[in-house]
Amino acid sequence: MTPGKRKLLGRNVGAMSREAVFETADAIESESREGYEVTRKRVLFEEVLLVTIHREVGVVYVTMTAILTVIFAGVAILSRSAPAVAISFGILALPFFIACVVRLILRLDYVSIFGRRSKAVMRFSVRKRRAREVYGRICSRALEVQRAIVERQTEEASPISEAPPPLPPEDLANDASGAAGST
Amino acid sequence: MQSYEGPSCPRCHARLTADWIQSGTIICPDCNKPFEATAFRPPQRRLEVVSVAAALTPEGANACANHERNAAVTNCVRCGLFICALCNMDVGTGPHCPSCFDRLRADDALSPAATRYRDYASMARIAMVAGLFFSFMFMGIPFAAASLYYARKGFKQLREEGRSKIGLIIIIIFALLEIIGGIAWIAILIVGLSKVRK
Repeated sequence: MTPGKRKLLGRNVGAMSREAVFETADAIESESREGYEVTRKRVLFEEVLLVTIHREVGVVYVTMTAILTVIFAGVAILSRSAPAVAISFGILALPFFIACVVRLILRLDYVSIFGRRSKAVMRFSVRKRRAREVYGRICSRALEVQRAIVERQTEEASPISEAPPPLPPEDLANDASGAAGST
Repeated sequence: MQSYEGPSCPRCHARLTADWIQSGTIICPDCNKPFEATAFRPPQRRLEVVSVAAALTPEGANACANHERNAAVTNCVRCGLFICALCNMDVGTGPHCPSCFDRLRADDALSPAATRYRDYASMARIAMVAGLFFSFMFMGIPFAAASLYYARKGFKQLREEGRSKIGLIIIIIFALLEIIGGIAWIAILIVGLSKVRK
């Protein structure tokens, strides 16, 4: 469990996976669900190696929606003699056609964060500016955290103190000067 | 669960070697498609770890097998080698020395750096919805009771995480209403049946 506040950055919802990605004070958290089981992975900002952003169509999604469009539209065309059936199948084909066209036009923006031990992926279907913002935010946070660690390490590595060594106690100093005088 | 092997191409998932990890537009050597990237050089935690090792161990403790100037803080659970905090590769699977860690990772026998837990809030929500659906079959009360049980556990979970509990409060209210409704439904039936008998 990770105590503390976290902010939802994005999701990665596919046919086989469902992930939510959050930002916490020191890491990116990725929660994937399998039924009631939640698996939480963390990509620490101090371990981030690479952050990427790219845009792709999603061939499987487009193919599936296109096939369903063709099937339903085909049935609608074939059953022109029965207008009620044709209209029903036409209406069924419409959402798949719209989904296919929207995906082809907008495409998906993916933001991936690779750490030393784990990774997190988010995808943005409509909010392109949000994808850019999240990408920039993760980069700046990782840079900030890693720079702070380097600064701390250099501080620790530098000499502890430049101050002169402490003087001996006064009575010892007097004894020493007395002994020097007597000789 | 797939084991993680380090940065890869976000398009084709081909492993990227250190030469390819750089800032700017990268063209994947495998799929030849571009993606924009920002590379980082995460600092090693060496200084911090050495000081921790020095602070944790008493004088005269065993030396680390890999770093003779570092005091050993534990030993590898696989090969028994004494290791310092710098060498301790513990990702929730017990302390491992770097070579055992690499071997286990190569064999995919290492549990990933992940936490698994049950989402009781989701379970409470599903039990509550199932209770609403099956309330006419007198199943509202047992489902609501299950929902309240999971909600109690969910509360504890959310408290530990410091997350909002508003959703769970709504679930509890609905579950209580289901129980009240279920009892009322049974009472109406009993009263009705007694009237019919008379």
